[in-house]
Amino acid sequence: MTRLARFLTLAAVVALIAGLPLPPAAHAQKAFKMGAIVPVSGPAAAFGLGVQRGMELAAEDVGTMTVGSDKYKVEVVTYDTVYDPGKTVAALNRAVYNDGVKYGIIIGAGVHPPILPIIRETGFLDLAFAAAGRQITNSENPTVFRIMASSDQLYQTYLVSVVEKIGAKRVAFLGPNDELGKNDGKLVKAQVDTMKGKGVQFVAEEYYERGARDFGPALLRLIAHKPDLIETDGSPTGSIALIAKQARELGFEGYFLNSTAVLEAKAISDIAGKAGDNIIALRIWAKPPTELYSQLAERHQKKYGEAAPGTMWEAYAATRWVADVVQKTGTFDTKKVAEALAQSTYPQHPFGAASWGGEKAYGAKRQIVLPIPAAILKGGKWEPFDVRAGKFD
Amino acid sequence: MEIYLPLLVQGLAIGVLTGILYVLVALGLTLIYGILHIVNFAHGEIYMLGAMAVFYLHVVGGLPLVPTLAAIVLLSVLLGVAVERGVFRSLRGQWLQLVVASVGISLVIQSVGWIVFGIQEKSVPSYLPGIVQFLGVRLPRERLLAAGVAAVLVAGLYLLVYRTKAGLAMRAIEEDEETARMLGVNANRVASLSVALGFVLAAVAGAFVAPVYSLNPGMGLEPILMSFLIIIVGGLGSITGTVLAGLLVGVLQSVGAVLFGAEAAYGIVFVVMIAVLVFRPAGLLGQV
Repeated sequence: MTRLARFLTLAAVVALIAGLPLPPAAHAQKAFKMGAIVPVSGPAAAFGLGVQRGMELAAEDVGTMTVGSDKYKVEVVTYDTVYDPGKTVAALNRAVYNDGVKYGIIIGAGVHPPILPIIRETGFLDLAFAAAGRQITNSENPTVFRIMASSDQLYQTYLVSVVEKIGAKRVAFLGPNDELGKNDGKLVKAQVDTMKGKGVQFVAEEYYERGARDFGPALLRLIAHKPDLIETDGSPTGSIALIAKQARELGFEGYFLNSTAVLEAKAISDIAGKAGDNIIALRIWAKPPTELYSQLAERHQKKYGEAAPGTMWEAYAATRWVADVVQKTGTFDTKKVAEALAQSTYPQHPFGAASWGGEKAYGAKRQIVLPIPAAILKGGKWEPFDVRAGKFD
Repeated sequence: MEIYLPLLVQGLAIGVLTGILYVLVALGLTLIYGILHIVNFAHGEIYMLGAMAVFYLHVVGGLPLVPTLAAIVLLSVLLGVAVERGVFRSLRGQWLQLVVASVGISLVIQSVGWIVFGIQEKSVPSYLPGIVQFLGVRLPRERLLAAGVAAVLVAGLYLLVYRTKAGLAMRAIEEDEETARMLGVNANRVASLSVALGFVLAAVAGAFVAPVYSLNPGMGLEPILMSFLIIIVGGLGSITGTVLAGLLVGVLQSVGAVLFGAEAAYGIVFVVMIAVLVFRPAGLLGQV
């Protein structure tokens, strides 16, 4: 074999690794395939790998399920989307049309607009791990369920109370310049505007290119407006920590609030160090809320050799919840399962009892409702700040 | 918002320091392209490996910084020589195949990186913590250190390429490989040296940028894209051009963001870069 031939073989292997669905770990004769249609490479890979692991742990726990008179094993099939809309379309098409996958978790508010028509056409049951709001879960998309708190749900639950609790009067926003960041910026501004009567002002907003690591210039503009709270929604873990670090370097002494896209609490405190003090993060549990939460954390550490990422929990719960409902309804028909799922509750969620809401706000009961925590970073450690029900009609 | 002078001066300072970080990352890329005409897409991954090596050897393993850096240099040389001999050498002169090969290496390293290093972001404590304040301008010491390292590396690279026998051989290969071979230059050895040196520059850049940012296996993507922009605008293969373009991009990005917002700044950078290439297609200091 010539060197060129050897190289081309290597390139083909690389292409296969990068572009094709990863083979399932175990092959069962009858499988209930669930797709992890998520980024497992590129800058957002950590989010996707967290979901994939949550689904794998859930599949282990479900074991064999009975649907009708047959037995099935949950099989997690991963499709790498690289957090790119075009690649997500391709991945979903492959999952549905090539592999017969009808259920799965799809990550990303930004990748959802082009896949929603496919979901509507095929009835794919999408457990959306995506912030934003009505754009994704609504009456036109009856098989789309959001398994994490939506942006407006978080703001309604927390923004006013956080601002009041820390006594902030001037709020600024810094987020990525994509659909998620812009949507979050708009929602934050709208919420802060409701507090005008209490002397609270929205003073500035800035947007950065997702993946950027230097926030200094954008922060300079924000800090010139003298905010005492900077919202950093839509930003991934590394960015939140770097924003805090670079803002402190520029002399900012106020608070940070992050409501969405928090990946892992420890990483923020590690990266930001002392500069991370007074970062308030929603969806981070300073103390384990349930026994299951602690058990999963331990299992994840043992199986994958590192702390559990923030996307793991909801992916685990959603996979188990859907498997339960499929078994109870006795069919894989996604429309029937969607109807049953919307009416169901799930007391075994690692965050506490979960149900569905959003009928009034989105026109469809497809938004998860579950306890939402807030934690504050002090001296490199997360301390409890608040826990709220996350009620969302 | 009122844009006042101290804000602009602070923006300018941030821009210069950011530009120097870009230069630090782009140096190895321009060297490998300049000598061998290889667009090394795996450069970002070598930068990532340098940063990860600091994390595992220095932070986790407790090895002092200087031996850590020595180990990084040694490992980079070995990796560079292995990649040149195992992949690049047999494809030399075949531009498209080299691009595919370096993209392949990049993907393999990144994929293996997610498995080996895990998905949690990592951090390296500052080698030189604190802030220097000068006339109201705040400069993080860790960035000043990285800037100092970049200055030393630029000077060292310049001396190597223009003041040593090895550098003469490199330039001879760059100019005309056939003639250089006829005159007794060992082209393979020069190629190995160039790739090894390029890898060392990338890994050392990663090691010194590590405390400034956070670490993950995908961290090489953004700097590599910026580095390509910089070496093209600077003039492919020109060390001085790379320095000028790096500073230009850093300053435009920063001052542009202060004046017009971060979103507009990206546009400004690209408009200026396109303008440079329209008037000087070979880049600021490149040769047609």
